[in-house]
Amino acid sequence: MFVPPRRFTWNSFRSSAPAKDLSSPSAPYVEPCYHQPVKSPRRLAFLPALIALVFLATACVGTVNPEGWAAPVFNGNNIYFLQSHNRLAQARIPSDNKTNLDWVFPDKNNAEQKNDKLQAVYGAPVIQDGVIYLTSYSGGVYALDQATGKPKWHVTGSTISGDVVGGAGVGAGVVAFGTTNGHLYVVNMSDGKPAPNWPKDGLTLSDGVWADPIEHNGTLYVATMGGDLFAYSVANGPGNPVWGEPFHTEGGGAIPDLALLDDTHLFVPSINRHVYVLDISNAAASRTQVDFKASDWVWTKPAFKNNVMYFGDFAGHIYAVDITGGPNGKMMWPQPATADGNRVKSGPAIVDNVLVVADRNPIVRFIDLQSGKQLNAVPITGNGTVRADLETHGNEVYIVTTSGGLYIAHPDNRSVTEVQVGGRQ
Amino acid sequence: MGEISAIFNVALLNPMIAFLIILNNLLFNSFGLAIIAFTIIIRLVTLPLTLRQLHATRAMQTIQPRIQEVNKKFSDPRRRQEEIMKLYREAGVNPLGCVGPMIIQLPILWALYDAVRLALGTAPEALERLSGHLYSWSFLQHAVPLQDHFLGMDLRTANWLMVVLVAVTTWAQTKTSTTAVVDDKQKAQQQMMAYMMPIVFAFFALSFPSGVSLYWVVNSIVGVVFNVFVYGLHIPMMNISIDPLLKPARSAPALVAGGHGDSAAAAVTPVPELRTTNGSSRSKRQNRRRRS
Repeated sequence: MFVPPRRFTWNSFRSSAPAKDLSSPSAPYVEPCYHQPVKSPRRLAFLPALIALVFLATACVGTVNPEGWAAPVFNGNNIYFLQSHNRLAQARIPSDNKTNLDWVFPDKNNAEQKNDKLQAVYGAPVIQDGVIYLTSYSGGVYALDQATGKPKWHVTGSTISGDVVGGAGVGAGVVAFGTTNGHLYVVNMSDGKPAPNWPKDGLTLSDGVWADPIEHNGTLYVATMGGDLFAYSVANGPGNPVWGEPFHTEGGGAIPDLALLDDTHLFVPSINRHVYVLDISNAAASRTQVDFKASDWVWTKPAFKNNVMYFGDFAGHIYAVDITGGPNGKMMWPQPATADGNRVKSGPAIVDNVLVVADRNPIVRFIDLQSGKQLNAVPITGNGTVRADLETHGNEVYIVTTSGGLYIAHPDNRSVTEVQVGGRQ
Repeated sequence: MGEISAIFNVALLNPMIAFLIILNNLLFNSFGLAIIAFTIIIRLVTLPLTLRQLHATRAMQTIQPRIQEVNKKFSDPRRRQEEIMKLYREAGVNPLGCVGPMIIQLPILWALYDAVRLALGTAPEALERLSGHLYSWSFLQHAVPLQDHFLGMDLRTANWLMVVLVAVTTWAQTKTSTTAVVDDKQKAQQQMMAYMMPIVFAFFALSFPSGVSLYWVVNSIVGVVFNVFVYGLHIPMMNISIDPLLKPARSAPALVAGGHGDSAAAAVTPVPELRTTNGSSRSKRQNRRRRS
């Protein structure tokens, strides 16, 4: 028999339980309307449901957690990449889009590594002389044995003031890293202890350091989010800076990244939309060779070939700028290539005459290096987004997503394939 | 959904973020001070809505005894509904009067919360996300990333002091928004709300950046001030009694005499007297009914 659904109205809902008699109209009754009286214990059941809903909403709108955007690195026949935001993996360079992991760090099955936590890694691992130097957001800095993935030394996060967003600057016997609190730490490559002539508690800078410090020919270049770029002698320490005055961006625009283009040029992007190329051939002072203005923030590393730097901005434009083309550089394409308005955070890569760019959508785009025309666009779905710089190996470009997915872009046939990663998970 | 989000961003969130950063620049690059000033200003701008809500709430309080009386008198749900609606009309009270302004304020408060959360940038990814919400004005662009310390506290991470302050101020706001009742069930419910809300929000504060908690604390303090202005403050234990400073344009129709909880002295005006004489608050529909 058909039973018509009960019609609920505001009042029928209110009257579903007998109202309590307040004895007389003269009884004082003062109650805000959003605190309606509970007529029956059944209605109290709504309260836990409401609280659960609020908890759920909180989870949805909660804070942004650090995920990291470390680029993959190659060494010999191996690839090193962040398999998730808190785990570094070594694997053989894939063949037939398959590979197996050799080791992971931290290894949850290894009791010695149970207290090691990476949390998030933003800087690409640096490999030198069989040691991997790895910075993590709040987990400190590690030196890992390349063969086994076991820590050789660890500068713990609790001994560092602030979090580490940039990677490690490695060279001249030291490992340098900066923190969001504006401290620059320089430690020995061999044991992780403070390097000679460098303060034990780190050098305090004017603003936070997010870009990788760069060591080049015994000089350490350190950029801050206050728009300053310092040059220090690794051997002499901070007491006698290489540059008498630091380089300043216009208006103090933050410098979130830093890259060496070649032996004499430094790529200095800023969120004030400018990209500076500094000539560092004169050790005593910096000289701005190019001051190029993009459409939006530039927070990436460039690809560089034949004096032309290729990079994207947050408005989704991809530029090709000749650094020998005058004080503002020379645009090599009639107009910038477009990523359809999607932010470009990851650094592009070049294979032959094809530029490979991944945007935040994420879509992998193949662009003709000469004309700037898009040859193909391949979306990556279901594996997070792409913020890590792309890395070239042979004729292929490797892409790591925020979910730890590993992809290979093939510029020869403008396709993208996903790598199946097996082995120790 | 995407379009609603885009409208929300363009109309509310992006201007709020810009305003927050402008305040940061004006207030010595102190993001903590910017949050405090921002919260107070936004609460003052939405003051008319808040007052409407609080006055509507109070008006609902005053006719509550009559509603109880109707509930008791009529067993037929339809008749009871009609009588209650009639009561609302005669009292000039909109049953959704206290909900409407609150609903209008919700997107504003949500945007305020989101603006604080985004501008604070607890992770590098947040700064990247913030870029999509910033106008291209150079003084906004140059201000980021914002100073994340205030009074020795890292605004990006949870802080125990802020957790305690969130609990205390939420409790104070809940207490000042509730008034004395005689019914045991209502008393129990009010007490439960008074203690559950601070616990729930303190729990949130444990996982939220203390910058967001700072916003909540200031928001609650301003809420307490508004409540005291509209409802007054009565703390018998401490012998504190402050009468409402802001009274509605129309006199309250039901509750006439007596203090809070003083049942002997209290009296309720009969229903016919609930008719308002204030033409401006009467709807066209009410006027048509009166004329007919």
